[in-house]
Amino acid sequence: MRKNPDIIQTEFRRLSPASVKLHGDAFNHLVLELDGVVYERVKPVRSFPLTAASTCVFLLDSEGNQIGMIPDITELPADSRSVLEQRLESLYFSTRVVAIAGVKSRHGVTTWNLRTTRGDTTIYVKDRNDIRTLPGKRMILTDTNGMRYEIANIDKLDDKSQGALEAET
Amino acid sequence: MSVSTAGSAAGPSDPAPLPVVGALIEKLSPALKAHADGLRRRGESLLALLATDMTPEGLFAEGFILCTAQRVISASASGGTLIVHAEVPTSTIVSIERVESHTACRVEAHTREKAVVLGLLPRPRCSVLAQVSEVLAPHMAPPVADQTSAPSSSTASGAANKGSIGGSHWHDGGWHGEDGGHGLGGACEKCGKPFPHRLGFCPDCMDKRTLYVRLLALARPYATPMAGSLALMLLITAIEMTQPLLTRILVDNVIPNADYRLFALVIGGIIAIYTFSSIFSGSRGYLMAWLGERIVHDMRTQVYAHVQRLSVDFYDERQTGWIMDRISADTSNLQNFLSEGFQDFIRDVMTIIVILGIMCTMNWQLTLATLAPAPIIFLLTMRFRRKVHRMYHSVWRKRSYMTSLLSSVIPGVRVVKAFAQEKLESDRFEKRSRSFMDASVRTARTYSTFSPVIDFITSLGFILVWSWGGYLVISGKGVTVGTLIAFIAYLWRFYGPVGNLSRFSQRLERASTSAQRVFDVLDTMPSVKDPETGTQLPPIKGEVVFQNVTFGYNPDEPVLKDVSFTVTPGEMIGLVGPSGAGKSTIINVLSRFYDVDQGSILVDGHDIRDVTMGSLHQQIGVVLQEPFLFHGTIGENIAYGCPTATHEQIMVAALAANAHDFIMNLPDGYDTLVGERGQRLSGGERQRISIARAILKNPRILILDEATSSVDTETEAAIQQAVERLVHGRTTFAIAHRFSTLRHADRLIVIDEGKVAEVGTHEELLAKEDGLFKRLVDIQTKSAQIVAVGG
Repeated sequence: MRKNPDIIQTEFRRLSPASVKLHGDAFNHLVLELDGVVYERVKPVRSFPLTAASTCVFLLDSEGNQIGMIPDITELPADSRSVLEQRLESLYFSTRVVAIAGVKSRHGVTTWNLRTTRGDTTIYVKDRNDIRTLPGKRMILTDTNGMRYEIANIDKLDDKSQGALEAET
Repeated sequence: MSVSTAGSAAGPSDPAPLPVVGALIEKLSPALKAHADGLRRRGESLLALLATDMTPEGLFAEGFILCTAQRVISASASGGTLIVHAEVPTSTIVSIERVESHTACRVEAHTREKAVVLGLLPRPRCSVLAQVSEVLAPHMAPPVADQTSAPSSSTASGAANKGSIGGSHWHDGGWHGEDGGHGLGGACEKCGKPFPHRLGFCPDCMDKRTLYVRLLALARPYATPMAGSLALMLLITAIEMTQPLLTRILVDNVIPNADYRLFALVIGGIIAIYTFSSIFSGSRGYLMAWLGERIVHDMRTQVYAHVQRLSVDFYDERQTGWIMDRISADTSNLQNFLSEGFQDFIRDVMTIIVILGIMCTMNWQLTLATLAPAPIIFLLTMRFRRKVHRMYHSVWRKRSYMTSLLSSVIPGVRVVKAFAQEKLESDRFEKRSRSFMDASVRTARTYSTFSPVIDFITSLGFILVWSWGGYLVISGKGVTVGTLIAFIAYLWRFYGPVGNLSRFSQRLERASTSAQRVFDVLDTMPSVKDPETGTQLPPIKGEVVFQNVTFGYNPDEPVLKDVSFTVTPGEMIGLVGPSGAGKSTIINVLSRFYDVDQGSILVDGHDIRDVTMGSLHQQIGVVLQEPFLFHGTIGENIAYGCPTATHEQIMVAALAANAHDFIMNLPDGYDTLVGERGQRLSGGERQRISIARAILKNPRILILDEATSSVDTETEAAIQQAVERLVHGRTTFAIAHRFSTLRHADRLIVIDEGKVAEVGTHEELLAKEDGLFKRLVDIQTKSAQIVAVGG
């Protein structure tokens, strides 16, 4: 990695994976123990929620101030990691799409019949920008309510789903 | 003014023939040259000879201004007679003056007593006068002390003032007339008409055939698939051609003789024909579609890549819609012709030849009768072609006129609404759309009168065959029913290609128009070029030296005049001055968007013209007043200058630009879509993203063009802080209208009317009582007070 010599200050506090201890409290809040200091109601924030969900995750204290950044959450100890991942999942609530039963487009609004890990559903997408293709053939749909639906890899969908998708990609 | 007939002045004198044509000895027509030779006396040596095309009174006439050590003569010829307008002894001339209007300049020889008008020159030509007076100076009268109060500010009186910064002698040595380096371009050697230099050739004299050859040359890379597709097509045509022959056998042999065996064979043959022709045309269809898409893709990308390579002046001269049309519409037209039109042409010609052969072997008299209308069709088509050429050009122009309106008005919709001009804009569009429609309709009307006439003439051929052929069958004169039926069938197949060929002119016309336009773009050479050696600018410390830089977007109107200064590595320079003084131009030439006309710009001792632009631009970072964000995510926009940057590097840059916090507050963080149609960001937020972009690029030279002028005071503090981090340790050029933002600058360079007026620190310049900077600051302070009171 090329270091940029001219940047005077980097205010990031990189947290070493070993020093981070995370657990949930009774109110579903995240508690962080870091070098002997305990932070309650900690909020994790992803820097690149769509393209790099598990790296560069910031932890904010209850006031919204930066505590530090976890470069890669997969390096965390197993229990801390699962607590953090759970918390992130609920913060960045998104639904995994298993198959597409059909896509209809009328007057610019597309109606999607989806089979997801949360069950079958029908969503409406209004804006072309809400159908985003990301590197690795990932696709993210944002419906009119702001809910996110994620297709991990459109090439791995069954033929029927891919056929339904064809007009939208 | 004296009048002399041709050659009368030649008399006893026998001057030496005119010397070699140089910068100051211009080329004259042979007749004029003889006149000029004739005017010179023995021993009179020629110093300068300027060709003119206007008399001093402003009448059009070929003429010249002849300058020798003894005399300066202005003369012109009309109808073989030479008229001498003025003759002044050189020794009495004090100065040669140019008196400029907006378009032309009057050349005057000033003696101590009076001014003698020598001629009228177009403005771009005037710069030659500096050289003329230079060569004349040793022979002219010595200058008088008070002569400096000459009527014209642009006195060109010779070497004495050469290169002085205070005067207006920016054009010393500047003779732009024939170098073609700028907008003027050269003139065609064949027709003498000027053409834009970016073309590099005279479009009027360009051979149509050359154009077609070039057009076909475009198809060369696809020769193999094209040959395959052509072979398939000929195969299909050949197979289909046998069908009438089978019909003839069916009618003449099978049916009368009730020959079942032959019947089965013929039916089998017909089935085979249809089967094979379906298979072949299916494969050919696919091949053609693939080939067509391939060609248009290659061509589009080639044109786009070329347009990207072109210099900024190419974009200055053209509207976005014009360029977009070249890339999308014209390339499609070309593809259509190359992949289909051209092959159809070959097929049609082949079909016609083969059918004629078959028909002639069946019955040549009948064939001749059938062919009678063909020459008429051909002649009509030729005439039509010429007419429709102009119409297509007009349709094209009107279409791009219409789309260029769209691309200029739609981005400015806020202005339109703010000034309540929606109605006006709709009307304007309606007008352009209507003229486009009218032109299209006119073309369609010509076509719709042409087509029925052709159809009618074609049907005459059928009438002839039916009547004469029918007569031959009925009277039993050697023509069988089967032959007649086959003949008619071939005739149907014959007129199809003839019709196609007559439409081929249209296709060819459309293709050659598009080809011309595409070639126009492809032939345009970047005016700012990389050195042929391909030398890279090594990593620099950041020293910048301007050495006597003179530059104008128009060679005759310099924006920078003899600008010189040196900036040490890491120094921050504030460029200040009234608007239009040339501040942005300094940045434009430093970025090498344009090449300077005279002088040079050195970066760490390297002339920027001697290194590749890529290596220069890699070390220059720019933050503009209106930050431009591409459609994409924030992360992608920050990483625009270095696509390989890691996520952490991007975030560190954003942090230094004071952008990290607001980005993290967006639900999608660095993955938020911005740019056109993306998330709306405030001016300050966009500005900080563009600063992060510059920080990540880590340039040695930084340009801040009004980087803080479009944001409110509160975010200005955040941006100012970001800018300070960015500036640290880099050579920086900052343009700002608010002088307060330049308080950290090491030195200020005050630019006024294209010249360096003052250089110094903030304090030094303020200390100058009558300095320009102090005056500007005073004005700003006063207006700030007014705002403060008023607000």
